[in-house]
Amino acid sequence: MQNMAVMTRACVDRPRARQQDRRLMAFRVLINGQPHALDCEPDMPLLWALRDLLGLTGTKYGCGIGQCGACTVHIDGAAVRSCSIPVNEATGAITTIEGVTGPVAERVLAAWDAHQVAQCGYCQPGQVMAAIALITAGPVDEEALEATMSGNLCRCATYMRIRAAVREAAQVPAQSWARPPA
Amino acid sequence: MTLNRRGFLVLASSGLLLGVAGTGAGRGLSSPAAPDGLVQRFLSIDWEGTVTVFAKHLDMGQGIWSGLASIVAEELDADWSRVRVVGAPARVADYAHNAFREQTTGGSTSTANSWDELRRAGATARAMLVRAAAQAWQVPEALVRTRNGRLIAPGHAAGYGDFAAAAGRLPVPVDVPLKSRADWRLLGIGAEALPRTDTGAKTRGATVYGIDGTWPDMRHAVIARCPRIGGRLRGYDGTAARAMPGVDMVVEVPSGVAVIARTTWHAIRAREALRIDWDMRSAETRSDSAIAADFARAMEEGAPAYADTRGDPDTAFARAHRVVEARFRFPYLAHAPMEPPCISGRMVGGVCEVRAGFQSQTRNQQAIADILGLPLDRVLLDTVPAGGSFGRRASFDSDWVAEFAHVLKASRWRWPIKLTRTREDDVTGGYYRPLMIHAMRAGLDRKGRLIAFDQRMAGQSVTPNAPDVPNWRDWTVLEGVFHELYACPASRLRWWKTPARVPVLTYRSISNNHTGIAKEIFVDRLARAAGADPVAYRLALLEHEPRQAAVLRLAAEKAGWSDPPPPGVTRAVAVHRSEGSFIAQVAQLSGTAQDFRIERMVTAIDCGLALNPDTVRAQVEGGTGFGLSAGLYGRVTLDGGAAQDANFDTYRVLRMNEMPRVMETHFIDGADRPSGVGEPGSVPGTAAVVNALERMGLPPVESFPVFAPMPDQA
Repeated sequence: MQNMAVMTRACVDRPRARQQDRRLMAFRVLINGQPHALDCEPDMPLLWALRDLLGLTGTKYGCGIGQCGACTVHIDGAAVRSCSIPVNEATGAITTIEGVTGPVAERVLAAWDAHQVAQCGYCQPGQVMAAIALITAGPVDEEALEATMSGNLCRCATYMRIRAAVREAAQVPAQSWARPPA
Repeated sequence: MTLNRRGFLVLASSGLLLGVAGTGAGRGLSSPAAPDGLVQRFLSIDWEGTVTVFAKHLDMGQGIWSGLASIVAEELDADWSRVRVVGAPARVADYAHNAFREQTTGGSTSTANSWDELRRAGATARAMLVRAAAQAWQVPEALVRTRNGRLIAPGHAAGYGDFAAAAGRLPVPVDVPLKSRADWRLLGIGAEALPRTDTGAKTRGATVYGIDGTWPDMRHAVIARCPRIGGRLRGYDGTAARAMPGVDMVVEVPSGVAVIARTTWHAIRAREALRIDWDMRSAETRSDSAIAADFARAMEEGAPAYADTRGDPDTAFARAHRVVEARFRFPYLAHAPMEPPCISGRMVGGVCEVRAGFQSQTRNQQAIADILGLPLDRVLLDTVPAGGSFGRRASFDSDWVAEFAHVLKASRWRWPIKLTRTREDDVTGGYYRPLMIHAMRAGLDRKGRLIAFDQRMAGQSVTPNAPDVPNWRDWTVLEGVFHELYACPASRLRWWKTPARVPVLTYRSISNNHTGIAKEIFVDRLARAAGADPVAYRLALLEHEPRQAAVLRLAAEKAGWSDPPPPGVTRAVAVHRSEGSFIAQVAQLSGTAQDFRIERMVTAIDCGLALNPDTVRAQVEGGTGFGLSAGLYGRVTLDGGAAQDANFDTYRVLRMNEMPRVMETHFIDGADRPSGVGEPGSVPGTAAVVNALERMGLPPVESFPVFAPMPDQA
């Protein structure tokens, strides 16, 4: 989200405290507005740094190859598969489900609640992050909704309600809903 | 979710339900002297009035935690916004499934199984609160009313929390009357939909799943398993892996080699550096197509494990004007829950504490106790919500739990451990929906009516330790077959129990996910062969099944069946009975058989008493998508006994753009008890879509999935 980028300036402050014999570095990253020091290899995927080093387990592992979207976070407001980006490339303000704020986030979360989307719920933080980034980027029509949200898998197939929740939060024009005949 | 963890520790250490940790012993509703512990087993109320329901069943997405809590809350007259749910401890004496006699979740039975005891628990707790208030206020009990978590009498009002402690000191009354349905506020069709208790936390990433468990100084583990299913470890060289950064330990476990490291990623990376010599003698070596061909051959030779005959099918076939035949091959399927089965825990003070989405607590607890040499009461399970299961977490041998215990043991419990399965581990690891072969024949008379039927099936059983009884009807294979559900005067069913070294497992709707689909595709072809309306044709075969007939009629009516479909739209139907419920679905498709869209899916369901209609609706929607995923795209391809599909790039599952555009669910609400909801929705919709595709010109489906079928090697 735009304001987030201003509030939390990207700062990945590498080779500070480089440890000579190992490939470990202390990465300073901004996550949810807070600076964190990550003591890890540069190619460690952001997902595992978030989960295993920082304890931010709201970002989920689902596939590790960018297929399912359960690990979606925002970097400078854009949706990113955190399993597929190493920490040394995550140079921006990182926002996870634990820290996402703002009017769009509030609308999306409220719509998810209202439509009772979650079943097992495991993929939903990633779905929510994808939806927030989509809506924040600009007006959403039905085609963009389907194209973007089809990138996030839900094994419980809560897709009817995800679709309904995004439509509501994004205020997708009803005439673009591709109504079925009769 | 500190509450979860604190709740776990308190329950585990005391065995008494004294309310939420920190509220002080004796201040909550509790009565250790209760005759049957009914109230304490299932709920507590703290001094603030928060009601905690202890769920003996696993919530894997089906909404059972909320469902169980809603039964308690209705009888208790609780304030729903102040009800929370935690997983009950693993204690078979208190939390056994009333039919299965062990603590487990499956078969869409949880609501029906808990219905009576949770109503009684809620009503009994309410009666105790009323008595406590009446005594304090010195008014007759009859003058004390309850509503929304409050006690009210002329001149008095208080929250439940104010009397929880006093109520907990009272003797537990027996045979407390239950509410009549007319007095329900929370349950049933017509009540305002209850929000699930877990929605907010799940949506905001605050729910702790098995994969999210953390313990002080925890290490992360993954296991290298034999790529050929069933192979075993012969030897390994862990030198390179041990030298990898972040690695703490490399140990042998029965299923392979475990790497224990600082993070999951370090463990995964180091695992790639292992050099392992696998002993393939016990491994499966065939492709899945070759297994299917072997199964098909078995049906032509040897004796079936099960046979049932009604009437005289041979004579009836001889009289038939026309014979219709079909064959179906159903592939192995991985459940692929979004959270792969993951588990964490530790040994502390001679007690093993573990946290995961346990689906079969009794077996899981026993497996850990056996491996670690502990008495059962020193194995404490914290059951947290599961990120899906679809049957995977119910493995009868507790494979994913046992592996954890082996890793913990091999590491000499030096650290708390989390054992993670990567997606690849999950999809390639076996424990699949069985590969099944169906061969069906029907004899029709001159008017197209069914006069003879024969069905042969071949495949593995899901039942562990099947009883050694001749001709035992293995319901995990046979439930939902045409032979048993459609009326035919002369009908035969045979099943050949064929071997493979691929471990198989329950999968959403057990056998119905193949028997029901084969049945509904075949009957639709019979209707076409007879030139009959597919609804009318089915109704004629369902005279003995009034509830199936009723949902079929309702779905047809709501879909506007009596009017022709809009131009460019093909409509088709399917009906089924499973898990005690009855469901019919009408699919409307546009486009071509190769490039189509499911415009509308109309469902009619009779799940007995629909307690939480919105949850039923959600299960129908999600179940339909789950079934379509398998029917259209799902297959684990085996080559040389090794799974070729490992992740979602090739093990394809349904995405949003493939979901129906519109779904609507209608209810028949005539019964006085609830029946299954989690599984029935995953069956007929798939058949209805295949029927529509065949009506749109798709060649008759012989092998699944429809869009990348398992090839025929026969």
